[in-house]
Amino acid sequence: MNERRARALIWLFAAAVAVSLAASLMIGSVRLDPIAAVTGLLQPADRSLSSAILALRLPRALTAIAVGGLLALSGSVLQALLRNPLADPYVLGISGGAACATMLAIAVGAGAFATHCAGVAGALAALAVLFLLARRALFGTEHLSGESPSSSMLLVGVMMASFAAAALSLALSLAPAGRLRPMVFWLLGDLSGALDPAAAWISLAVLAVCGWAGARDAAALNLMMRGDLQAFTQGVHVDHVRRRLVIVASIATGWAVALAGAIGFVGFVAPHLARFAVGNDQRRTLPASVLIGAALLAAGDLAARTLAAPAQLPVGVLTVMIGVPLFLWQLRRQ
Amino acid sequence: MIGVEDLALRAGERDLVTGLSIQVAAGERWVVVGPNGSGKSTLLGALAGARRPQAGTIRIAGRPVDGCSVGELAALRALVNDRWLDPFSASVLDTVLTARYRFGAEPGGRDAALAALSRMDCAGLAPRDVRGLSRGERQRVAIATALAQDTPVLLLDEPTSHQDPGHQAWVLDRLAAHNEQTVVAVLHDINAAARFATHVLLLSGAGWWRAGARRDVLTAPALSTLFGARIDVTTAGHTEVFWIGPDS
Repeated sequence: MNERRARALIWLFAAAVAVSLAASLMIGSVRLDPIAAVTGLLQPADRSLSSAILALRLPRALTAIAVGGLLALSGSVLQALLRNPLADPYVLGISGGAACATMLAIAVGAGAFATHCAGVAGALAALAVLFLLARRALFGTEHLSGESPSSSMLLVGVMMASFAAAALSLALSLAPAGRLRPMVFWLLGDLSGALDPAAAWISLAVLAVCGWAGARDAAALNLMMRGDLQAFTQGVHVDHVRRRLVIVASIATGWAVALAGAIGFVGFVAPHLARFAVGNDQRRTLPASVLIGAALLAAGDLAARTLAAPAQLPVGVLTVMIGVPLFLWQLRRQ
Repeated sequence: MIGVEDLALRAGERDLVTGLSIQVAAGERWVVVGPNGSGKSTLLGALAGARRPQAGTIRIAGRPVDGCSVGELAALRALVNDRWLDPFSASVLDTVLTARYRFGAEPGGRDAALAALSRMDCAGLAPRDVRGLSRGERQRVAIATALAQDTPVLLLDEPTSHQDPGHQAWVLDRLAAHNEQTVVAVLHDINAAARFATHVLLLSGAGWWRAGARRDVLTAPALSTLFGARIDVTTAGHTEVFWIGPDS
């Protein structure tokens, strides 16, 4: 892979994020022209209609970008760490914990902020359970000479995800009828509740921190993809890197799910598209993947709120509907 | 260069080797010979610092292996085995460049990687996808990767298992010829071992071992005992050829 071409493509993906952000701000039930949008952004104190609309659309657009980036980062890290192109952000069962806690919060009628907090707490609890159940894989020392710990970690994650799915079905079947619709929407992945500007900015901060932490270990991840023993002999502290990256991927997934529900496919397809575009050097794959995920989800959310307006579609349905043809087209081109 | 003192290795409940003490001087090429499951790979793993021995100490360049950081070890020894993984496509050059991780961001990495590839006669493979290589080519790329790590000690676990007879001899001669590296290699082919080694370690897997200069240790009676098969030796010109007798 030509390095200059890869760098140009990464800039292109960054531009795609900017374009989808601009489009999300301008397009809707009321259409803003670009000049009004810019002046509205620059002078938020101005009480014109355009700045009022921006104040409504900006948090949602930023949340879409952050959530898309977080899911793509997590998927990218996990696919490399588990050496499995089928891995996605939900494979370690972290999202299951977040989903169960959020469902419980919605079922008892908690507010938006309490629901987010419950989701984060659920994700952290699931992470703690993963570390407890897979502690031999994550903290053992004999694995360098034997079986890779990734597979046992993966098995624990799949079991946790299955258990969480059953718990979710139980919650759905026991929930009062009036709360079923928001619960189902949340399960499908939905950004219509993302109106809080503070949550949007915090999400971007979480993305920045997780992205920085992932980028720090990207070079080591390149080596670990090719085998633990090999990476160890080449100078990678395999155990430390694995634990750090599991925590990064879990926080990214947990935050995204707590905020926007289990949005499918972005975290799976964005790393694949990134690899098709810039190759498998994680120092380039990770940023490319984050940008593609962000652009994909921002565009998906724009479509979700405009296609059937005034009705809103769950964005999780659209990301799959956009992502699958895109993925198959790329696969055919290979 | 490598000092092993009173080493004991176990696999589960089985004593593989006990009381192993050898001194490997700089520039020597040691070959470990023994039946399946006798602990050859385990010994290499211990020498690499990836496996903690039950007892004894291992030093490389005077430094105890269990007291070195991962980065310090990476500057002392490289390891080749045939359990490489290529889950995602990558160019041969990028794969060899992983060995330059210990140097951090350095401008000369590419040249070092290409030089290592040429030493294994793989320079033409550099832009190819590793997943499209034959197993023999992939194995030579793995050896080139270890060479690119530029360490004084090279540990090889069956480095020629996928090579045809011509390439097997070529690879080993290449490693032996212009090389200042100290090598410890596991080889199954006794004649390849005889050709390559300056010293030999026989491991029985039941605690018993013998080590020393090739001519003293690699003998037909010792090998017959080691493998439980009748192994004879014939001299062809200046070369000794080992072969397995008809009734074993």
